[in-house]
Amino acid sequence: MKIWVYLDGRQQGPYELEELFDLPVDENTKVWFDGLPRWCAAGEIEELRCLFDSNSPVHDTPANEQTETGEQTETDTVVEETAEAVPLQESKPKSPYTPGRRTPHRELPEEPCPSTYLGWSIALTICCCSPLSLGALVASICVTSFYQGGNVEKARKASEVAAWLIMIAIALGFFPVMLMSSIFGG
Amino acid sequence: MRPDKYRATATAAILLAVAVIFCWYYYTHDPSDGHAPRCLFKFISGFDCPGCGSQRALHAFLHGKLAQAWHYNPFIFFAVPIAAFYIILESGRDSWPRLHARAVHPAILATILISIIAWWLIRNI
Repeated sequence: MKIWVYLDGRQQGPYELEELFDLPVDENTKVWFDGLPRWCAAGEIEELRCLFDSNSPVHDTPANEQTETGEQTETDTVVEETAEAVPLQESKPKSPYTPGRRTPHRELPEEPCPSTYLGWSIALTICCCSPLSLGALVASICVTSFYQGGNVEKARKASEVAAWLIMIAIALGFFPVMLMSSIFGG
Repeated sequence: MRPDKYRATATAAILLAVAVIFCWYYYTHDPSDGHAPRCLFKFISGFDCPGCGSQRALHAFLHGKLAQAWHYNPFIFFAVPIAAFYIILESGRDSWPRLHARAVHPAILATILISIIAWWLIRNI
């Protein structure tokens, strides 16, 4: 069977099934062969299962891709890394790797993570208006939570919220503080 | 240099400059003499915010009185390097995507958040 794969950002092939063993094909790699209506993830294809049995660590489920098979478990929270529920791989231990351990581009959404302003939130908590900067810290955390859950829209909104809270915290913390120290000065 | 590394370097340089200025200022000025910026939160509520005492702590630290610095505010000795780390990391994010993805692991962030809140509560008890 002649199989085409999409690797390294381009279409490659055709390959025979045996040749695919030598390629860095995993469950998420898009493949196509005559008979498929469209490019599919390799993990969805029965015939390609043999590629993954003896392969390296279980990958994390990309939250925003390929849920048609129904064989992939949902990621309930961002913290849990669940194995894909392909029966053959149940004997494998749950992958201890976070998405970042492997090349992020495989598990995470295409576009880069929006700015989290995390460093700023932490810095502001000890500098300026603490309640607001705590809110900014929560927003920063939300950015990565949403992003790693695949929800880029919410991540971007959280990023904006964080940015706004930081600016307001600086404005509120900085000027009254300067004012106070000059008025009360002691 | 890739644009991201350039940005990261520039950010690090700016942070370093700011740190130097802060250190110079707090070395020569004692915040206890009354002209230092005050904490808005403490002024309104009477309770310490996580950063209260950080100026005195920095001043004592720069004069070698480490125990006293720790007494004023131990938390900033962790928070400041961590904050600086994340600021620089974010500015050069595309240069080290894997490090970034690992560093913003929810477990780490949750720990930071909880420790800030815990510190805030504990110091007011």
